[in-house]
Amino acid sequence: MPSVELVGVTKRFGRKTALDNVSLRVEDGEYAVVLGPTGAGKTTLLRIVAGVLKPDAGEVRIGEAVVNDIPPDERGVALFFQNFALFPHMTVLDNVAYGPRMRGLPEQDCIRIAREMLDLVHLLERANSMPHELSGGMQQRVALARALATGANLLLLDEPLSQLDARIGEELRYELRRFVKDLGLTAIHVTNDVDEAMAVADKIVVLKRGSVIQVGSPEEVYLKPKTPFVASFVGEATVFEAIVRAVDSERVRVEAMGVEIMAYAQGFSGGDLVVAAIRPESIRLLREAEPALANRLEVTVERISFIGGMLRVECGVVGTDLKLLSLVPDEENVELAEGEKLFASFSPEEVSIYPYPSEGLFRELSLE
Amino acid sequence: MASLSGLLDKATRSALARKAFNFTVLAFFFGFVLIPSLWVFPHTLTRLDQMYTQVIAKPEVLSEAVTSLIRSVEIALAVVVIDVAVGVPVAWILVRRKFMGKEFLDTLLDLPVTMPTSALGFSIYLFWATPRKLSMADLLGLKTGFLSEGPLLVLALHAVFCLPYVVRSVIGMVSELDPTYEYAARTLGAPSFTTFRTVSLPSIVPGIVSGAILAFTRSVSETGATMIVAGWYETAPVYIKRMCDVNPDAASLVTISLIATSLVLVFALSALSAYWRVPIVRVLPSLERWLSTAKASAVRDFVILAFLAVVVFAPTFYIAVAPLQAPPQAQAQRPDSTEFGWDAFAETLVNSLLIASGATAVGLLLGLPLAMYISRRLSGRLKVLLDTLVNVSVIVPTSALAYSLYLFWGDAPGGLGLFEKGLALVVVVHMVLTFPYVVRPILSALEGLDPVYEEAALTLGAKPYTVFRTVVLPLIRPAILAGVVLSFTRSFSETGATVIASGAQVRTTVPVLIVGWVKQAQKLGDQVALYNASIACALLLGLSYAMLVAFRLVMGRVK
Amino acid sequence: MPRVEVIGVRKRFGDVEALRGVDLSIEDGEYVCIIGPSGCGKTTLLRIIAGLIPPDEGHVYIDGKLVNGVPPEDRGLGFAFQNIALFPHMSVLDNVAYGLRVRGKDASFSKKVAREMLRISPIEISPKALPRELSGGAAQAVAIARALATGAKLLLLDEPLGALDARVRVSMRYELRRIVKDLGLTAIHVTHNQAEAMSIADKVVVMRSGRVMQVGAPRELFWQPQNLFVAYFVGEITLLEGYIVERSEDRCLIELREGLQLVSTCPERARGDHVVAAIRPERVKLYASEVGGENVLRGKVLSARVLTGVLRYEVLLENGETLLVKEILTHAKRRVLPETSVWVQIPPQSILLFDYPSIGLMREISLE
Repeated sequence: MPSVELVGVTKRFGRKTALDNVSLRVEDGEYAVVLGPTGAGKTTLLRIVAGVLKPDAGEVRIGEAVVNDIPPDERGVALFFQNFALFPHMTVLDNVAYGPRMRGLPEQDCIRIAREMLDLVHLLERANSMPHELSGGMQQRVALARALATGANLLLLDEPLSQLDARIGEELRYELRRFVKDLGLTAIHVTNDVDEAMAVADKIVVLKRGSVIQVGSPEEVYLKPKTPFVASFVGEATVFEAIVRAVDSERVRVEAMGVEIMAYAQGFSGGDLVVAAIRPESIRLLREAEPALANRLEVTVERISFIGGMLRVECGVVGTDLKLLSLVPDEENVELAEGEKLFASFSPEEVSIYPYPSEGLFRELSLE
Repeated sequence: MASLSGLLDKATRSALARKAFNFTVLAFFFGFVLIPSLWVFPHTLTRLDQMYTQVIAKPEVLSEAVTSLIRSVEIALAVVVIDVAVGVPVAWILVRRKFMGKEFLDTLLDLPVTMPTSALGFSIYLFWATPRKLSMADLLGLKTGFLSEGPLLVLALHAVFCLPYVVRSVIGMVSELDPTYEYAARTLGAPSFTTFRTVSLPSIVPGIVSGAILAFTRSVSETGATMIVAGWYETAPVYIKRMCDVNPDAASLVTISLIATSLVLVFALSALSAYWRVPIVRVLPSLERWLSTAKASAVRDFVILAFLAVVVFAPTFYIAVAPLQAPPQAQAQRPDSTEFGWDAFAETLVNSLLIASGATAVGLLLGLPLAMYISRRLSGRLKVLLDTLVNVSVIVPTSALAYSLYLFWGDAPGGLGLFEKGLALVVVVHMVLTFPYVVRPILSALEGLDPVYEEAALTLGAKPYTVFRTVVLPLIRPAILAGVVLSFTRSFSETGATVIASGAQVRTTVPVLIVGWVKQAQKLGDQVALYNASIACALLLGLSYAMLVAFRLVMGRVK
Repeated sequence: MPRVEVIGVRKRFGDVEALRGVDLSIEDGEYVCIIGPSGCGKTTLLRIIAGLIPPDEGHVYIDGKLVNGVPPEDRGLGFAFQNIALFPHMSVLDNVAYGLRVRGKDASFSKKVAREMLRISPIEISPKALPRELSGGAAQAVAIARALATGAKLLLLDEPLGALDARVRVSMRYELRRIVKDLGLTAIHVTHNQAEAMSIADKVVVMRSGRVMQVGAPRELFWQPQNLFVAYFVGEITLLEGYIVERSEDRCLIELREGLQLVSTCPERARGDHVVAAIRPERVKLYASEVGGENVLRGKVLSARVLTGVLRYEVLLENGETLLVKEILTHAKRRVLPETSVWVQIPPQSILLFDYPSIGLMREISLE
């Protein structure tokens, strides 16, 4: 099982820098997800690891060996494409047997391996179909079988679920992870879908405009976002500008649009312009009488949306323009109504404080 | 085979072998195709003084040259206007409407391109011309014909053989239109006619422009058939043909002007179509609504199809009817020459088929690697440049190209002196003129082929040559076949360049022979030559149709 | 404001029956989402309502008027497409003004209205820009402005967010609803993404194989699905096969595989019925130590994933079946690690019972 390491990898296309000095390590048997918006350089990174693109600077190592000059067919990687890239002129079996044939194995071995791989993805009975005769989910499985039939143990997945219906993608992401883990592969999976990334990854690499912003487990990335961008990109946080009003040894008091909020943070001083972020599930919605946490704000419920068994509640802090986003369980006994006045409450440790980004908050949060 | 593939795999991996191979392909393109095609430019530069004394200083020569040039451009522009006006609706009908015999009509439309232009020209000549033996007017017992030899007849001919270029090119765009744009326009309140005018038409402008460019260059370069129908109205290529022995400097001047005109026009048109946005102008809701009704569109379709029937198909097929009239009794005075027998016809027909196959084979062998090289190895400006140069060799009018090649290879001053005008030069000319026809469809198929297939194959362990053989080649097969068909038919039907490269010889390819027979009949009133020519042309019509049907069958199977 | 009524609509494409008799009624000002797997006929239905394709049978009424045979341009509706379909040869402003211009309005008036309409976009967009210069989200905003510039009050949306990045898609869906509600429109929105539909619709229509499976408010579909397919399609759910072995007045005892038993409220079932028990993961409680009460089962955590705002567990029950559990995520909550023994509690009233499908469970819930 190979580890993969990129050291200072840079890639330019004309004047555009797709990857800017990217360093990153994926361990043996790890499932890594590179997450970022369109144009972040995710696919370029994957293609550089696969060897179908050459970096302008930097090193690519697979299992400690530098592979910069090794052509893709000798790297022992399997690249899995967004549109599956099944050869349209070959049957399913020929597609899967393509890799073994290219390795020059005897024909009966090629067929045997191909049939085994198809069996593994439960598609043996469709061996003689043409790719276009299969549903999206089936094509995805064939592509997986083909990628693995080469015997490669480094699997590179380029947006593998984006072409599928949402609900199928939701099912298949867990299947994909199980598959990779059962076969003991190392996987690098590229996507712009946060939910998908969180569901499959051991390690998430957040990429933005060609640079790595944060590397960590899904839990770390979600609960301890390193920058306002990560906070707003990974899950829908409430992110806003604030000014530090008071500081003590471990806490700060910040003010945003006339609202004062307590937060645990260090290294700031009074008058600093900062960015605050609060995760929606940290904000509890309480009625008048219920006991509150350190931060308690009177809010009006503006819009309730139902997402996956929970309620996403947009609230406005009464008397200001500050909006908060809260996520509460949809319990049978909870009845919220739009227009209702409630109290939003959250503890100071749930508020993240960041220095104000040099390029401005709008550009920092921009998804493009 | 396996070992050959292995060898080629190794070769494609070896940087040296790859460089040598790329060099060969590029050397062929530049040294054999491009530079000789444009040789007339350096050739003239070395002879500026002769050019001055022989042409510029002689007003009567100069004015004759300029007149021929103006005529050619006038005819070509008129042809473009007519063919775009007719070709766009025809293409629309062929893609969007359902009717009986659509397939048949679709096949017939290619006939004027596949058939040797001289045979087509003769048919059209007999259909429209003043009453003489075998003509339509004669058959109907009319005293006067519809058109006499001259500009209108030239126009009637050129409009026919240029039409398929416009139609094909527009069909390509129309069938790739994404219907959601039309859906969007319809749900925004535009009736079908307005939708066509404001949304579909602007999207197919590139197709119209490239069709118009092809029609223009084909029109300004046609020689053989034009010689049959032009009479006193001498166009530029006919002038080049007449002058290249009499006054080579005059021929050079016209050649240069012809190439330059075409290039300027083409680049101006492409630049314009890239920046020009078709304005909506004003919408007249009630009128356009009426034009969108089923009745109005049926009337439009009928008018267009009737025009096709009367102006394109009837004159093209007339040649099948002409020989049915009584064979001539009298034998006019005719030099006893082997050039007028059926064995000459058989020989030149075989020549034509051999040259077409050979030129296509060479084109494929070198064109495929060139297309791969441009599409997969080059990027940025270099790619645009080479892509443009391939297009340039399509744009150079074939008669100018033939003359240029003669100057390069032939015994003209400054030339290599390898070939005289005749069969050998004809072969060279055909290799050059068909080459871009093979490369272009392959190149555009490669550009349209998503590189993920190749990347997939590479990461699955295939070596570069194996990727090409097992993935790229099967996926671009339809384009390769299209290139082969285009190149073959282009060579088979080409008359203008062949007439110039043949010089005084008539027994080279079959279209040249037909020109010879018809000119002989026109000049000397030779009834037998006329009758034989009509039979030969009818045979060529049949053969061309059979070829078309065969190509369609093969293409259908490949797709 | 328009009402839309569809009665007995059928449509066949060659051998494929795309719609097999669809009835649907949409009220003034309602935001309706039509969801279903690929090929269920949802797009065909939308196109029939728009008049882009005629139905083989049945009637479509808009505002009480029969519109069969009325061309799309006369139906007074706006349509937005998945591929966005901005005319590439026109500027943003010309695109938005198009609908008015083709109705014969003069250029300056049309452009004035178009400029007004562009204000609905949440993103600032230059009216002179060409479509290819816009980001995905901006392009779709322009497309919607274009669809509405003619004064259409009925907005049809065909996978309007399908071409966008996952994260942009989430933000845009709330904007879409806001636009529709602010302008007082009726909207019919087709999507394969059930989460998108549930979060913005007033009413969701679930389709499958050319038929309507259920129509209802998002929470109703989620918590009270009428059939197994809807239950499975609108969100993750655990499905357990079993037999009713005992029943009292309002309770029954279900025996699952390997003799494991569950108590459920169960109207209209008899002893011996072959059933599927469906359990939403959000309703299950997970405990690290033993607790008392009804339906407490022992299990082992197979996987514990941190998702956006949610902890998702797969718990292996003692009978070898897997139960999904979801909890809201907070800093305070500790994640139970895989391989840990746990106890799960399933409230009896939250178990949904369905007849075991005659075609088998897998085929009944198949998404393809």
